Amino acid sequence: MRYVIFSLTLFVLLTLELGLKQLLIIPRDGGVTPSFTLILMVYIAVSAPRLTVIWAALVIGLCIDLINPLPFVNDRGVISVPLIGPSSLGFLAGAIVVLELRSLVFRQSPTAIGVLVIMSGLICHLVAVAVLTLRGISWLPTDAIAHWDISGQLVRRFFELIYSSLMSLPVGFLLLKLDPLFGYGLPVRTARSGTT
Amino acid sequence: MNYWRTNPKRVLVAIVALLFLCSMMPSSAADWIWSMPHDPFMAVISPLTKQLHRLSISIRPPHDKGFSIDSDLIKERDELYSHNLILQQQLERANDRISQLSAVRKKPALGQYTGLLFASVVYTNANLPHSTLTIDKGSFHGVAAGQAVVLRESLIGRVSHVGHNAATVTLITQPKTHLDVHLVPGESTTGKPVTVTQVLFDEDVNAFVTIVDASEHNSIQIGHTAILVDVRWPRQAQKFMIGYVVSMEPQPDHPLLQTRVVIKPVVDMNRLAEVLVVINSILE
Repeated sequence: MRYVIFSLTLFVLLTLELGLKQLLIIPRDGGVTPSFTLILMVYIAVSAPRLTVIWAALVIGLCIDLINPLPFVNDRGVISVPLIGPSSLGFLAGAIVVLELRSLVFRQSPTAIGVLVIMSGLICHLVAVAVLTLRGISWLPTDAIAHWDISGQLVRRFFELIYSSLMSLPVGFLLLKLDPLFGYGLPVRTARSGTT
Repeated sequence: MNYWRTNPKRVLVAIVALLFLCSMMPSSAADWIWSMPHDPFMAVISPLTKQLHRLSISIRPPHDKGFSIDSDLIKERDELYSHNLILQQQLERANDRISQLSAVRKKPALGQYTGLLFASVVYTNANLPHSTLTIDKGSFHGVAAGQAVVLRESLIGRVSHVGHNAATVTLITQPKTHLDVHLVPGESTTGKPVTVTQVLFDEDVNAFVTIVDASEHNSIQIGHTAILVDVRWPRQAQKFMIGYVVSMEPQPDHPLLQTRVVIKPVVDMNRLAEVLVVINSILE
């Protein structure tokens, strides 16, 4: 995989994810927005070699952790702090799920990417929510996230997943068109040929 | 990089462990460490992001956000209302329990160390030959066979079978139940206490029935209260109320000599939700 192309695509999708939030937001459960980076992770995970997928998932997760600071309460009131880890671990787990399932799908299909977005996103969000919830355990030397509501988080993230899955049809289609630029060099099974 | 290629699993485990430790980092440390990469990172992507954000706002009217806040506030208000309602119900229930406990504690038959245990009724079987109810407390909570079950100042029955987390209570309204009671003046009636040998529960009239001599008829009035004085029942159950006199008629067989007294139970056994088990004191 060409890392420059990957970095540029990640930059563009991160920018779109942040910049178009107001346009794409669904005012429900605190605001539901699609995750373009999750689609990118799934797209790379269905095509790239295993080690590359792991690295790419970690990088995407780190970027998500950096751009989404979490609220904490201290003596100054509620502050936003970037916390590295939860999304990185979640994306890593999600990528591993796609690696296990990618031999079962036709990678040239945006629909397959949409289905994998749901499956890997479920694991990704469950891991992230579990890690963030662990911070609330009283005997750990950590401080809990302000206004943390695990059920609310799970509901909002589930709707985000559905939204991302729908958005993965056009975004996945565009990403699949960029295949020659990424240069995976991996023999893959296609819907048309049915062979590897 | 070579180590990564030769030992990818170890490196992956190490990365996962490191990320987990970072996730558990106190917020002050995370703020200090991760602000360094965060600020330049945001500086790189924010120029384009701001442009896109302006574009988004121009396409989507800003009142959508206001609508979102309003709906959030309304939702929060509704949640608070429902929470308030639940709290009021809990307070009402707690007050009811306190008044019930204070009413029961006034009974002289209850010793200082007698325990009182609230139990929820999970099943009522008050219409069949074996009138029973099932409560959600059992031997694990200190319930034992023979213990009295009451509701406020009224006797409900006694525990007949005990499981670990449930118990069966045989009701006093079981057909053919015989109880020794005293008939005493109620709050709205006058007269002197009358000893009645036995009252019998008659399922036909759904009440206790007893036959008294016509000579005692004058001392009994409608509204008199029947209280338990039965040695076959636990000491803690004595003096609890069984019912009140609702009618007195001449006995059809001997209308001049005997009077038939009907005593209506105080409690409707079909509508019980919570009862009180009188736990035997530790000293006993």
